[in-house]
Parts: sequence; C-alpha cells; structure tokens
Amino acid sequence: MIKFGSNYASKIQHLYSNKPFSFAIIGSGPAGLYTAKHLFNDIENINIHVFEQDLCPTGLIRYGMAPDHQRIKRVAEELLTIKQNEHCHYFGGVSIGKDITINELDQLYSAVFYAYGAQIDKPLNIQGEQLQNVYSARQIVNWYNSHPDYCDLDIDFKNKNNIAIIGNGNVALDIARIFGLDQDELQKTDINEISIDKLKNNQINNIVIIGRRGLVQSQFSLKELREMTKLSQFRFLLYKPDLLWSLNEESQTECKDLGVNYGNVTRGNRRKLEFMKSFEIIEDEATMNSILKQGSNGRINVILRFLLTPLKIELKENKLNLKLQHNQLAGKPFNQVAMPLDQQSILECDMIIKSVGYQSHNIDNDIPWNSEQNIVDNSDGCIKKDPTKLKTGSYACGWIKTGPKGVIDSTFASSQETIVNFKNHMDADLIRNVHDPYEQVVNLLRQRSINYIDFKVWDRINEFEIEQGQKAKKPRIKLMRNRDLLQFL
Amino acid sequence: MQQLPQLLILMIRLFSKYSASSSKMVTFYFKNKDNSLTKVTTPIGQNLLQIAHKNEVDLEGACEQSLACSTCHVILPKQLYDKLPQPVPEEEDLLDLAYGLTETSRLGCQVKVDEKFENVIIQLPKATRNFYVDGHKPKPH
Ligand SMILES: Cc1cc2nc3c(=O)[nH]c(=O)nc-3n(C[C@H](O)[C@H](O)[C@H](O)COP(=O)(O)OP(=O)(O)OC[C@H]3O[C@@H](n4cnc5c(N)ncnc54)[C@H](O)[C@@H]3O)c2cc1C
Ligand code: FES
Repeated sequence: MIKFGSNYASKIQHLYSNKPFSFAIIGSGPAGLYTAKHLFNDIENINIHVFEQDLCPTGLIRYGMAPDHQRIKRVAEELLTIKQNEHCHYFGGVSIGKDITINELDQLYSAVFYAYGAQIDKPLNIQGEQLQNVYSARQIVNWYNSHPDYCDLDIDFKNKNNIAIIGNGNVALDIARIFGLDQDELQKTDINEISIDKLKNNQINNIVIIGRRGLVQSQFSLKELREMTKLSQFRFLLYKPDLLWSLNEESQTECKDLGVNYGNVTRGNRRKLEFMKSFEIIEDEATMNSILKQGSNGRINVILRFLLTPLKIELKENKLNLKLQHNQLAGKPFNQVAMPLDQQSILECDMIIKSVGYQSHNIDNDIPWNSEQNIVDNSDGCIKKDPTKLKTGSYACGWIKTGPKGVIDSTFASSQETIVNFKNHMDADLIRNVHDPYEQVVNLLRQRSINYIDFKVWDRINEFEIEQGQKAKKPRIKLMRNRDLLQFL
Repeated sequence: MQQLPQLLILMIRLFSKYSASSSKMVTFYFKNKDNSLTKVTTPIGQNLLQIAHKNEVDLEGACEQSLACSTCHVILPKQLYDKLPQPVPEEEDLLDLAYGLTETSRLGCQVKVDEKFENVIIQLPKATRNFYVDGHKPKPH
C-alpha cells in the first residue's frame, strides 16, 4: 500500500526507475522496522536488509515493553508486514560492529540507517552497586521478558519485603506492577513459567520509588499511574514533607497553562499533579517507619518519594542500607535542579533496582559519536562526519538518534523526520545506486561462521510460540534460549 | 395476538432507522503530512482511524485501537472539536504523550464520524521540519 509520500514515490520512481537502491538498517526495533516500512512505501525499486543482534526481531517491543501490555506489543505485527516484500531480508543474530563493520556496510549499500537503540545502563556510580540483590531495571525487564542473555538472572523473592526502585519513570512503574501481579494476572502474560514461579506468592509489602527531583518533575506518565491504581492490590502513598518541598512556586508554574509553546509539558504536569492529589499521604517519619516495618495484609504499598539522591549501598545484618541525600529544588521553572541539603537518611530494604535510564553506546569506532548526549552524532537524523559536514548516506532513527526517551509515538515521529531528510538527499542525487548485495552478505556471514535467522525462520518461531501459548491460554510462550531458537533453522 | 403486529411495526421501524443511519454518508478531507488532501466519503459511525486506513491515509494505529498508544493522533478544526463529546480521561492521558499536541487534538481511533464532519479537514500532525543540507535544494521535477 502506498501511503504518505505517494506523490513522492511516483517522482522517485520516475527519476530512477531502472536503477536499484539498497539500504541497510541496523536494529529491528520500532525505529528500524518503521523506517523499512516507510522506505518501501515511498520509494520504488529498493532492497532493504535489516541487521539485528538478537535472533528475534522487534527490539524493545519483545524485550522491553511490559508483558502485561500485550495490546501495545501488537504493533510488532503491523511493523513486520515488511517481510512480505521479497526485497526485504532479515539477518537476526548479526551484531554490527562485531560481525560486520560499519565500513563494510558503507561499501555494500546505498545508505545505512542506524536504529540500534540503547543497549546499556546509565551508570549510577555509587558504592555498593555490585552487591547481591541490587539490579538494574534493564536486567529485570529483560528477565521477565525472557531475553536469552537474562533469563537465568540470579534473582529470588524470598523474604523480600521492601524493595527500593531508584528512578521514577514508567519503567519503574512497569517493574513495580509486574512484581505485584497476582498469579492469575501473571498467567495471562507471556512471562515464562520459571519467572512466574519466582514472582508468584512473593512477600513484597512495600515498593519505594525514589526520584532525585520533585513530584512535578517525575517522569511517570499519568497513563501508567492511572492504569496501576485500577489494580486493587496496590495502594499509592505520598510523603508529606516531600510534597511541601516539591510544590514550590517554580514547580507550580510548571503546571500552569502557559500556551502552546510549552506543548504537552505543562498539560501533562497539571493533570498528573491533580491525579496524584487523590493518593494517601504519610504524615511524618514515625508513620513512614511503621509502614515500612508492618506486613501489608495482601496489598502492596507503592510509596512515591521525591528529592532524594542515592549515595551508597551497604549490607548490614542481611539488609541493604540505601543511604540517601535529601535535596531541594533550585533554579528557574523547567530548569530546576536538585540541590543537596545538609540532611541524609537511610532506607533499609531487601532489594534495590536502579531504574535511572537506558543508554546508547558506540558499537564501532568509525561511528561519529556525540559523547555528551551518548547518541550517534547527527543533525535531524543525518549523521555528521565532523561538526560541519554530513556523512551523506548515513542516517539515524529512534533512540540512537534522540537518546533513550519517549514512547513509540515519538520514536515513529523521529524516524519519520529522518526519512523526509533522507528523501531530500535522494532528490539531490546524493545517494548512489547499488544492486542487491544479498549474496555478498550471505557469503560474508558464511565465511565468518555466523548463524543467523531470516524472516522465514522467524515466522516458524513466532507460530510455534503462539501455538504453545494458546494451549496454555497465554498470548505466547517465548523460547528463551538461543539454542532452542536456532533449532528452527 | 394483538401484540404481534405491534412488534412487527416496531421491528420495521427499528430496521429502517438502523439501515437509514448506516447508509448515511459523509464527505470530508484528511490533510496529509506532506500537505496534500485526501478526500473521503464514508458511512457515518466509523472512527477516523478506520476511515484513514481504508483510504490509504498514513495514520498509524500501533495498538489497534485499544487506547494504548497515541500514534493515531489527529488534529480537528476547533468548531468541530467543540461540538464533539469530551474525550475520556484515558484518551487525555495518551494525548499528554502525543507528539505535536494541539488544543484540538484527538485520537483517531476514539472519534466516530457523523454529519458534523461534512466538508471538514482533519489534519495529521507534522513531525518534521524541512531540512536541506549542505546548501542542496531538491531539484524541481
Ligand atoms: C522497559 C521499557 C518499556 C517500554 N514500554 C513502552 C510502552 O508501553 N509503550 C510505548 O509506547 N513505549 C514503550 N517504551 C518505549 C519504546 O520501547 C521505545 O520508544 C522504542 O523501542 C525505541 O525504538 P528503537 O528502535 O529506537 O530502539 P529498540 O527498540 O531498543 O531497538 C533497537 C534494536 O537494535 C538492536 N541492536 C543493538 N545493537 C545492535 C548491533 N550492534 N547490531 C545489530 N543490532 C543491534 C537491538 O537488539 C534492538 O533490537 C518502553 C521502553 C522501555 C525501555
Ligand atoms: S490506535 Fe492506539 S490509541 Fe488509537
């Protein structure tokens, strides 16, 4: 189906109808697949090869988005309709930078689209991060989503009553929610049996979610908050002193209707603040301490804390002691920072999860890198050779372009911008013609003894997983080991 | 026995009402991301995302209308926006996250068309700044 840009497609077809173009896309997450889909829609006579380091496609749709959010995961099917195109090839299990270099791709293709997302943890850099029962959100999320590298994560929930999550975005809420699902709810997800066995009947009483700045600056979206409050097992709590410090004049300004220039920011802040006013409030430290000590008779307290920076983690008498620096807000509205106060406290807990964000990294020294923002150095999706020149023929889409923030909608929008700019380069005759290098790539991978799966193999895996799932009344049962996946070759 | 004809009449009335409303058509436009217009004529009662897809208008619907993404975001003319029922809070929550939000933004999968849509223009949000590099301007074709 030719959609947006259909006028454009006819133009490009007219100009170049007999000359093929061949594109490589690095990464098969939402950004990579969206880009492939739209390039096929907009330009005639092209070949696209998608390289993915995991065997299975779709990136964070499969290994990030929460397993109880199956509805949003359905986007995978729509994006993967590209596989019906005979000029589209998938190489799952091929890591660019390691198995094939960027220089090799540059030589093989008309253009290369970097869509390889964010694969590492933003470091917290505090003492005690390596202790047992301290995890990163990425580890946990990959674990409950059955990623081959994480499904054997050493984790157990025995006697884990109090859990601290550092960082207050949607990923923190995803984790808190999954930890709190009851057995029936867990069975409806595609979490594997081994993980369900660990999660069910856990003894979690309190989950304390900690943010460095105030309530208004928290990164939770109201969508996630509202959804979670509808589940009866969670009881949301705020701490009064946090609120007093959080709702300074500047923060209130950040919730005011300041017109279109502030886009959705103030609107989102305002609606979130209004909603959170309905949460129960813990009046003082004594009440807080007694809540943290009590059992919770079946419900889980989700305590949202603000203006706290983690300083270090120590192990004392079998408990993790999380030392926290208290902060106040300073600076102008929309630019407020956390300023340390002369006050510290200790939160005693049984498990700590660092959820301060994903981060991108450089996969090949030949990639121009913006080390300030940790993204591929680019200008609206066009990769830069140096500060003044573009590396024409190289483009970035999704999180590797923008940094790891936003949802699927913003990822699509950022990829779309890149495609428009790329098409301008095509119009300006900056992109060279290349015949389909499929045979060369296959030979290269054979020489290097790299096993990969293509879309046909993926179809068989996908069918198998869904079929197994249907027997157990689940959306799917994921194969979680590479050797099991490779059996479908 | 007396009741039967009454029931019949009621059924006929219901049927004619239903068939009348489902066959009623409305014509309006989508303004695409490249500013071109797509004219659509469609029975009332369908939602904007369904109509967009049937007419090859490039509106994503990542979560298949389950109110879990915001990729079906559209911008309505103010007059029309004001006449429609308020969005539910869950739709507003997703609009908070929509790229390029305006005051008359809605989610396409949540808006059913009716007579009020006759001749209006539904705008798709623009995600792009036009950007020509190294002094290259696209060639005129
Ligand atoms: C935990 C979590 C939950 C989320 N939940 C939601 C949600 O509910 N709704 C929503 O709208 N958004 C959600 N998001 C955001 C959404 O996932 C992102 O917007 C989107 O995935 C970004 O797309 P991407 O393609 O840039 O990156 P990714 O999805 O990360 O895809 C990048 C791909 O590149 C591959 N890759 C990396 N390095 C290489 C290499 N060297 N060679 C080859 N391939 C490589 C990776 O394996 C991966 O498959 C969530 C994000 C996270 C982290
Ligand atoms: S299609 Fe996802 S909200 Fe409309």
